[in-house]
Amino acid sequence: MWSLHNRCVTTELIILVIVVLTALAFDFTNGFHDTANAMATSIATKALKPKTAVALSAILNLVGAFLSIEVAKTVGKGIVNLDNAGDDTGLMLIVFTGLVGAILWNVLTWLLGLPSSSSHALFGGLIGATMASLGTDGVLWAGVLSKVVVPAVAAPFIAAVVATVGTWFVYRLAQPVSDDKKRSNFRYGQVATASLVSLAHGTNDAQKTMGVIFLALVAANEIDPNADIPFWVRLACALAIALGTYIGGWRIIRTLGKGLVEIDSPQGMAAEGASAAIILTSSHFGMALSTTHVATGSIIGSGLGRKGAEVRWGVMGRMVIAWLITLPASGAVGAATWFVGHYLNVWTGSEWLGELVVFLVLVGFCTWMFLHSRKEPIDPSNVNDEWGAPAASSTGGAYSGIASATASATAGSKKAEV
Amino acid sequence: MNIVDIIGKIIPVLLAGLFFGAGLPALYALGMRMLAGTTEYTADGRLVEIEGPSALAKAVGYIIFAIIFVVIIIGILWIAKDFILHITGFNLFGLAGK
Repeated sequence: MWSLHNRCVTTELIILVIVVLTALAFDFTNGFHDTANAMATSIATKALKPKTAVALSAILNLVGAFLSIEVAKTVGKGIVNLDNAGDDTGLMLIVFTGLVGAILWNVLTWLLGLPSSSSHALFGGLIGATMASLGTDGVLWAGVLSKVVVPAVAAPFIAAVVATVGTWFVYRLAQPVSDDKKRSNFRYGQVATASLVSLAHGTNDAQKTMGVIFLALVAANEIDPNADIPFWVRLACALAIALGTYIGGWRIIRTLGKGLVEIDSPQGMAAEGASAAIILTSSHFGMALSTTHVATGSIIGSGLGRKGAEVRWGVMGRMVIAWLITLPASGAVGAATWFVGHYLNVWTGSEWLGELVVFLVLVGFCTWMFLHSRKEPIDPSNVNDEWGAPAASSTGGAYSGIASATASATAGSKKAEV
Repeated sequence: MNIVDIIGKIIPVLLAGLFFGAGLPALYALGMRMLAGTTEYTADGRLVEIEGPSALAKAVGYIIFAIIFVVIIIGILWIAKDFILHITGFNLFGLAGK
């Protein structure tokens, strides 16, 4: 009896450690995926040096993460119903494979240089894993529509309108100001607005991982459901998102800063001002908008509001495609890995082999995508290179679309993707 | 969730966005203009200042910048409102914990 109990505890602990590590890995991808939302414009206009920008954003994300006190202790509340997940092991596997789906989608879209919402990836992964485990009844479709789909469609339009109006006014009003004063004033304006976006991001996004880890701790009976979030969880999540932000998703920064619109400093200020205001006020009106969708919409708006500025709709089109397939794609991975994990455990009678194999699959795919990214690295040295110009490496491939980028990823060819 | 509900939710977000997100950058640009003085294009197309702003324009400009500064501080406190409630028990804006 003693040894049986002991064995269960050890298994539970191993799974708990794997889930917590995976949650922190998601938090890390969340960080580098979203650095661009706050800092792409400031980097593109050279208001901040690339390294300074990511360092500032990382610090503010760290501070923001500690400011988030009211952490939701449920995951995907109103979107999935995990009450019927059965025993705690079942719940753990759903959350774990949901995270795996989210991470793989985040890393793939990073490889392709596409900003896509980390929250959507997490929701998608959870929805997929829940459907695999509990069937469609486990998903609250009305919640998915009102909390995920509608805000995602509305956000870019709202942000684009606000940033268009802002940009138009800023250019009008500041027109007679001397070049020197424009440069310094818009620089301050950009740094202030981008900092607000970073702070708000840390406050919103680190919480999600804290909630996931808390849920895992409850499922493993390591903590009372009514307890406060332990300090180590708060610290670990804050550090993971800050480190991710500091690493900087340079591929995405390049797309948002250089690919969508050629951004000048007044546009940068108007875009980040619009983003900051919308992110900070929208949740108050009961419509929490994704930072990524807002930031992208704002940058488009800053191109629309400036006379003669070019918006590269092709780049926007690729992003929209990525947004549309975020939920189903991360959901499919979440579901597939759930089946792998679940049935490996059922067939072998093991309690942890499924989780371990899925974890190794995750590590394997991430390593492969990372190695692939090294073929055409985007880093602080070439993040601001001319859009469409030959890539820094010798292959000279033009920046290609999602289709050819995906093709090149599968074929392992050397064609450049951002 | 029907289309009326959706529009009903979007409109306040859009209005608040326009007020703060477009209004403040515009106000900032107006402040810049107040402090711009008189400018002129040089032969090579640069815009340079040839005369500083008047005392009145300067005062208005600084007042505008001060307003923006205060709004940003309020924005930061807004972000931190739950934290402030938790640490000090003071419910800033009366909206924390929602």
